[in-house]
Amino acid sequence: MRTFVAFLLLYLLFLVQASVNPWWPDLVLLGLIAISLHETRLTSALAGAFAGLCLDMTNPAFAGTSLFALAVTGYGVAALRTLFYRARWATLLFVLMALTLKWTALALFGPGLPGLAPLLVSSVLTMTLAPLVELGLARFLYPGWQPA
Amino acid sequence: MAKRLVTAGQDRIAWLVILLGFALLLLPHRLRLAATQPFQSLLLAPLRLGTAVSQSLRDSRTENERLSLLAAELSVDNARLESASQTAGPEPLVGLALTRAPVISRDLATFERWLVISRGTRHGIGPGAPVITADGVCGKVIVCGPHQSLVQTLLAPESRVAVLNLRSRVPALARADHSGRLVLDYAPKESDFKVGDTVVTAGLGTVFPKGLRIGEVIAVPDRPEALFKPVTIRPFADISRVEQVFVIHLPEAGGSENGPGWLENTGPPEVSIPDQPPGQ
Repeated sequence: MRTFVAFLLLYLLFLVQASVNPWWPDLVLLGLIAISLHETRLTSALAGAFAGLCLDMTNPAFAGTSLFALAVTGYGVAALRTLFYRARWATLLFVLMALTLKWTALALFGPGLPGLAPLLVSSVLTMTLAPLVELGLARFLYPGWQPA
Repeated sequence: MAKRLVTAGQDRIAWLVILLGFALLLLPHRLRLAATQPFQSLLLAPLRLGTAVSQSLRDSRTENERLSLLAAELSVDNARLESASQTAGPEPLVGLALTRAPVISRDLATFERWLVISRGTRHGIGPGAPVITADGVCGKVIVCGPHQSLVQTLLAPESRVAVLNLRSRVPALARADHSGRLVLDYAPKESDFKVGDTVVTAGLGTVFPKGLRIGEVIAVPDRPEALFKPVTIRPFADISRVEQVFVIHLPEAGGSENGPGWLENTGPPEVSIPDQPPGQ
């Protein structure tokens, strides 16, 4: 049930993300990282693939770009969290890596980068919101959980 | 041991998902489009529905504004014809112009005594201009700034409007009764007012043209002791909720060179006092 709610939440975040301009923070990425910090590697990879598939539907000619990037992000966060996830601020590291992966995938395989200004603004906003989103989602979906 | 096997199996599936994503990247755009077509309609359905609803709401609002303007124009047109039929003269020419004005503030105590609209002298509006809605008369402009105007509504305690029963042609004076209704003063005791009668402006003052719809008679209590007939009217315009109004631009007093103006009452009557004969 919790996994279903997590997927539903990702879908809702996608609906919001698809309705706003590229200057906004990447809500889907934030949601995925927050979920991957608590779920198994398989669930995280599937959640990333699902969220990426949703995002790819807005630009189906480049389908696979977000799917691949977010699936790797979900799996990577779930796999690496035991190595260097020691406090909530460490979420920023994952967000930084995920953003790098996402922008690289978009530049190499996707429609290209949105432009320097929206890229920077969106990235900074995403980084700024990351601890809050992680904290909020952890309390909502995984109450009682504490970082190792 | 079993847990490790399960974890390893899960890892393989996760890697398979990632590899599938990567394989999708290698496909030509045409094949990617074909592969994602079934998912597209399913995943984007809520977005498309939201867009359709939003567009529908926008269209409805635009259509509503257009119809409101049309209704207001027809209301004024009706008043013009009413005026023409009463004077039995040639149909007056009309310099009809309506200015749509959003309501940006209102009387916070009752929401219905005065309004502020976002149109002023820069838009050709002046003090005394009648203000209507698509349903009926709303009030009149009393103070104008360059971009804003203050409208005194029919329900303001100071408001008085000369009215006419559309059916029986009985004139009277309408004023607010502090409960969102209008009451008639000086309606003769034997005058013909019935519940359901429509009351329109009489065109006797210097503000409202004749024939604009004001309200409906909702009560004519029988009071033998009263000097005049107590008639209660419910205004057609829902003044406490109105969000946009229309200001009527009256033609200049005196009419145009092609004929008389549509109102005989747009300016005070010119009264000349003859000189007294010498010696008196």
